Amino acid sequence: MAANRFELKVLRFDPFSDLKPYYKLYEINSQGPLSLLMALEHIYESLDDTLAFRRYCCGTSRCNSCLMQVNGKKIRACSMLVEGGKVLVVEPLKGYRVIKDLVVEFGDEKEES
Amino acid sequence: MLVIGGGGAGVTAAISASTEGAQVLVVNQGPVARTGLTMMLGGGISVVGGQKDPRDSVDLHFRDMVERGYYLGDQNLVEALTREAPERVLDLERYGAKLLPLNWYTGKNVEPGQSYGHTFSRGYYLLGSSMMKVLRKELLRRPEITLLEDHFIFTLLSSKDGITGALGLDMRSGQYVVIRSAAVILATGGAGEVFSFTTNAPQKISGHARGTGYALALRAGAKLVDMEMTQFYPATPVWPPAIWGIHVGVLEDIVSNAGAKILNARGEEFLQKPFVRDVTARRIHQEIKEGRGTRAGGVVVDITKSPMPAEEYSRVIRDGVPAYKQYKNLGVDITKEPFEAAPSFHFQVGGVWINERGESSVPGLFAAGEVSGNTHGANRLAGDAVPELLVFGTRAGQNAAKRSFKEKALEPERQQIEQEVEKVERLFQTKKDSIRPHEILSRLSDTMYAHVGVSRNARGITKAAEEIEQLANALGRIHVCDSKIYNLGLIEAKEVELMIDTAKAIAASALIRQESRGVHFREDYPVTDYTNWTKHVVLEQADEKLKSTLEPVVLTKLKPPKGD
Repeated sequence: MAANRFELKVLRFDPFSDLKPYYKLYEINSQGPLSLLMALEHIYESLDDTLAFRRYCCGTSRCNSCLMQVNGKKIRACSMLVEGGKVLVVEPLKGYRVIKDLVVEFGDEKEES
Repeated sequence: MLVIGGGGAGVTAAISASTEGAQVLVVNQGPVARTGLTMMLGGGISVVGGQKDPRDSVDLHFRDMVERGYYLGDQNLVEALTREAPERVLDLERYGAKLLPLNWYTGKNVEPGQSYGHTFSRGYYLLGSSMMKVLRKELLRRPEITLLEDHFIFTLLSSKDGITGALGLDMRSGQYVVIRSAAVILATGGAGEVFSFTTNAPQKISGHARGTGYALALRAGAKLVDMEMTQFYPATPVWPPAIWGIHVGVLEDIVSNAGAKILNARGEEFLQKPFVRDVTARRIHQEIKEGRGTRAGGVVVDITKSPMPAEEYSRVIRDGVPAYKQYKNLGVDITKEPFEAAPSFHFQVGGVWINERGESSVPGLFAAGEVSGNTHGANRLAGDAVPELLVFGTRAGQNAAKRSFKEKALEPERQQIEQEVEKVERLFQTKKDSIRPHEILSRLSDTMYAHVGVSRNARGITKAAEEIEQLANALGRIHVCDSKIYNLGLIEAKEVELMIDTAKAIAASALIRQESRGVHFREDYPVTDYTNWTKHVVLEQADEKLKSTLEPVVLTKLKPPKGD
C-alpha cells in the first residue's frame, strides 16, 4: 500500500498551564489511509502523550464523542479518512466549553446526526 | 449510593434506585450515551416478545440459555432474567424508545434453531445508541440522581465490614475524588482490551472496555466466577486497516442471506455449516495459526458475489450490516471488494459472582451487566446481554437502594486513600528506564490473545502467566506527563495496572478448568466433562494472591447431562 504522509495542525490548550491556545504541528507517516481518530491515537502513543482527545468512542459514527472541527468544518474524527499529502487544521468542536485540547464538555445539547 | 459505570446496566440501576427514593451518584469515565459498550450494540434484544413465534415461551428461553450456556449458568439468575426481561424491555418504551420487532429488516422468520442458538427468533430491535439516549434522558429527569462524567474510579474502598466507597479522579480538574457509600453498584462492563483484537476497541482506539471493574472487585475481596469464559466473535475486519476492529455485526446473516464466502489465503472454503460461533471462531483461528491466513493475519470474507436479487441484497446489506455505512465513510465498500477478518474478543461471559439481588460476595458491593459472571454460563446467546443489564440493573438498583436506607456510609480508611494517591503521584516522577503505559498494555494484550484466546493449552497459558508477571514487575517503570487536566496517560497507567489483575484472573481460571466447555477451549482437554466439571471456577484475592475454589452451579429446573 502507498505510504501516507500528512500533517495535522492541532489547536492545543491546557487551561491549567497555558495562557492561551496555540497550534502544534504533527507530521504523521502511515502505511495507508486511516481515520483522523486513529491519527490522533498515533500522536498520543508515539509523538506527544500530552495530547487530549475523547478516546472512548464507538468507531462507527454513532456516539458523537469524536466531533471536532477540521479546516473549519464540523466532522466526526472516526469517519474522516485522512489521505496523503494533506495538511489539516484540527480544532475542538465550536460552541462548547473546552476542557483541554480537543476535549469539550458536551452537556445536554442535541447533536445533529 | 454509588453506581460506577454509566452504560446500560449502570443507568438502569440508577433509575430503579431513584424510583425507590434513594439518592444516587453515578460516575462515568466519559459522557453517558457517548461512552461505553452499550451504545455500540447492534440492535438485537432477545426476549419473549416483539418478533415472537406463537410456540415460544419464557420456559423455552430459559431452556435455551441453560443448555447453550452448557449448564454453567446459575439457574436462579436465568429464571429471573427470562421471566422479567419482557417487562423490563417495555420500560425502555415507556422512557421513549421505539422498539421494532427483531426481524424488521428481513420481514421473515428464520428457521427454528437457526437464530444464533435460540430455538425461535425472539425479541426486539433497538440500537444501543438509541437505547442509551433514552436512558440518559430518563436519568437526567430524576432529581435524586447526580451524574459525574469524565470521572475515573481506580479503587474501591472497604473496611472489614464491607464497602465504604470509592476513590477516583475527576478528569476535568485533575482532582482526586473520595466517595463515601455503603452501597456501591459495579456496572463497569466488559474486558475486551485485555485482548489485542476486540470488537470493543474499533480503529484501535477506545479505552472503555479495559476490564478494570473485575480488578476493582477482586481487590475489594469479591468473588469472580468463570473468568475463563471469554466469548470471541468469529470474524472482525483486520484489513483494510481503516476498518480494523469495526464489528461487522451479523456474520451468520450475511453468510446465509447474502451468500458470503469465507476463504483462507489460498481461496479455499474451510468452514462447516451451520455456523456455531465458538466452533467457527476456532476454525478460523486454526486456519490463521497454521499459516493459511492472509498477510494481515486474517481470512477472506467475500460478499461481492451474492446469489440474491440485487435489490434484496442491497437492503440486507444496508439494514443488516450496521457498520456498512461507516466502512464506506472509510473508503471500503464490502459489496465491491472482499475484506479480511480474524476472531475478536467480543463479550466477557464470566465475571463478578452475584445472587438474584445483584449482591456480590462483599457486603455493600453489587454488580450488574457484563461485569457480572454467573448468568450466561459458558456461552452467551446473541441478544441476551440487554435483558441481563435491564433485569439485573433493576434488581441491583432496588437492593442497593434498600441497603443505603439501612446502612450508614462509614468513614473510608485514610491510610488506604493515602497509599493509593501516593501510587498515582509516583507515576509523574522521572525514572531512568521509564516506559509508557501502552507499551505494557500492548504486550499484555498480545500475549493474552495468542495464549489465552480462542484456543488454549497448559503450556501456552503458563507462558502467558509468566509474561503477565514480568509486566506486573514493570509497572513501577511507568512514567506519564504531569498534566492535571484530562491526562490520558495517567488514566491509561491506572487502567493497565488493573488490567494486569484481570488478565491474571482470566489466565488462572483458563488453566484451572481442565475441560472444554462453550467458549473455553482447551486443546489438551477438548471434551466437555459434565460429570466432574459442571462447577464454577471461583477466584478470590487476598494479600495480592489469587485463591481458587470449585463451587456448585445453582440448579433449579434443569439437570445437566451425565458423563462426557
